[in-house]
Amino acid sequence: MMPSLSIHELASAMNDSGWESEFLRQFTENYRHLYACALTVVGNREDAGDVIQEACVVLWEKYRDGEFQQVLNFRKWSCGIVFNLARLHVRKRRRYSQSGLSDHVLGQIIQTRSAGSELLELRREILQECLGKLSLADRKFLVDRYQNEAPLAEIARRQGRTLSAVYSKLKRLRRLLTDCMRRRLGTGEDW
Amino acid sequence: MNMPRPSIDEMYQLVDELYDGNATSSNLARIESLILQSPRNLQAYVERFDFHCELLEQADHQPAELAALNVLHQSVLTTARRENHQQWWRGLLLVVCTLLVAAGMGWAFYSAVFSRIPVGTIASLSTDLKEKSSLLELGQVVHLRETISIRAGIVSIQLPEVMVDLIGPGSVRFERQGLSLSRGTVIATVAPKGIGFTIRTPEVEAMDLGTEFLVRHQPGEGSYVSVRRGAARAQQLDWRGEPVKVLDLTTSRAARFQQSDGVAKEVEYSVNDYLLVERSRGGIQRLSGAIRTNSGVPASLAGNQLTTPNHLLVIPEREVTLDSDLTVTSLSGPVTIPAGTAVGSYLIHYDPTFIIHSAPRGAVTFSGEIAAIIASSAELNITDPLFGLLQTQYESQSFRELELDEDEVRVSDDRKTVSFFFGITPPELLDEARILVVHRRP
Repeated sequence: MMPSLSIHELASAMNDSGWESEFLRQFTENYRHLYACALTVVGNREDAGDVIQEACVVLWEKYRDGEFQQVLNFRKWSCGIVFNLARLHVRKRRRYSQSGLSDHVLGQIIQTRSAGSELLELRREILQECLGKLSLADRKFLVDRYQNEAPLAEIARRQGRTLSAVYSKLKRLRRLLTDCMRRRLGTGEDW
Repeated sequence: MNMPRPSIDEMYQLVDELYDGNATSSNLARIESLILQSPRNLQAYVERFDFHCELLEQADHQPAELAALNVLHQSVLTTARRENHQQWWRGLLLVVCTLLVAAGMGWAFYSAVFSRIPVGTIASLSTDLKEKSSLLELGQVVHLRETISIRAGIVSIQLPEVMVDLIGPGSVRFERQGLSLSRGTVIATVAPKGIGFTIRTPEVEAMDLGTEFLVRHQPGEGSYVSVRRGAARAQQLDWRGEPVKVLDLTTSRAARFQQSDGVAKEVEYSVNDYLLVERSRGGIQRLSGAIRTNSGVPASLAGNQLTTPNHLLVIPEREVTLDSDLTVTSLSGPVTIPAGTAVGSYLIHYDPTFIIHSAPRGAVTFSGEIAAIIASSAELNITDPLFGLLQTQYESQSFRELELDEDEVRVSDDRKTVSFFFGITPPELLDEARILVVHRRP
């Protein structure tokens, strides 16, 4: 049965000094970053979701057992665990499908992703600005694609368009954003 | 040397296919081969996935906290079913479930529990400030991971133990240990307890080791670090953000960093970099209310020449070290400032030029103690040659003075803050006052 607690009790559950609350706070604060780490290694949202769920359990157990106390930087520590789980996930998939990136390349990807957080943050800020330049209809199209995990064929059916038209539009918008980011990063124009 | 763009474009295309679930085994083989070919392709792979992550976040309307809690909920449910004998899983399940219930009750709970972390406040804005997106206001709280972008002017942000001046066009993002500068110029004045404050650009990470330093970055042009007083450690970063070279800079030294050609070398120091902020803010620590600083040196402060319809203007003038005792007539009577004192002068200027219903109020806090406030036209005229800006023409008519029956001036108990309310009596609306602040005692 779902427990019934007042808002104040809930707030105090998160605000008390217990390690559970601290874990939840740190996990939620770093969640987006952890997801990005998983996605970069496994390459698709479904697998990234599985890795994150598994990581959540592992992190909780290790946190409870005090492993985190020895490293102090939650983001770095939790990211390391997510990377390991993601790498195992790719290995399993590779055994099944007989294709996939090698361990050597996965190691390079993980190393680059770990080192480049600040640079990536700067690129994200620029991407946000470029998104603001798209028309409302184009932004809605991207939200539809990225929010719902719906296959392109499903989006095409809902919008009454052909699959190739939807695919071309998605490609065109990504291209627009990429060009906009390049301009901003390169010449500083459009300020 | 830059990689040819086609290889990066191809990588972007391959990652898009992979993300969309359309990648074939030959696509994966090609990704592998491109990554092994060049580190730049590897970087492109990581950048492109981060591009998709950002689009995902932008499309996801639920806060990150709720998304995270949903994942926790699913994980805990799955594991608790499997290991229901373990008490601690039930404990976590209870916490997560209750939080999800709370989320359903409204975002207010979330804003209370996961409130954004404040890191500082906006202390000063120049009159020519042009914001890039949201409006900036004096006293506005700046939060962790918040980005402030301006097209022009100067915004000063007071952080604990650090004053940050951002000169536009520029954009900074506030981090735990300092800030990231994606464009523009930042000057950081760091108190002893703030040592370790860091400014990061794609090419360099500059860490303060005491007092005042500057970092400038323009995409494509690299980064520049200079130290006006004290010391700073500048670490050159490679394309992965890893440090590759360290330069320790001390007073009046500067260095330039360029990622593309690996340059990290000392260059000529120029004090001019700091003058813009010095002229605009001087020894002002904080402004509040309808009061602004001025970015440049005004050509004329005569009536109707520099109008200020909606705000008071505070203009840093000259700093003078007195050769002999100086006696001035202040609002509270004659004041003598001893020889050897370094005195900074600040002119409050209000010239609305047309009749408005209510005059603005404002306050200025200085880092030093206020020695005197000069408000009579005679005393203003006498002190113009000593403290006034050399290139600026001043009003000499008597209407420049404060009308003590309608203008209010109050000084705080610690004599560091002065607040103003100027009346507006036509036909002459100009009001001025000169504030003398002790910068250094003899």
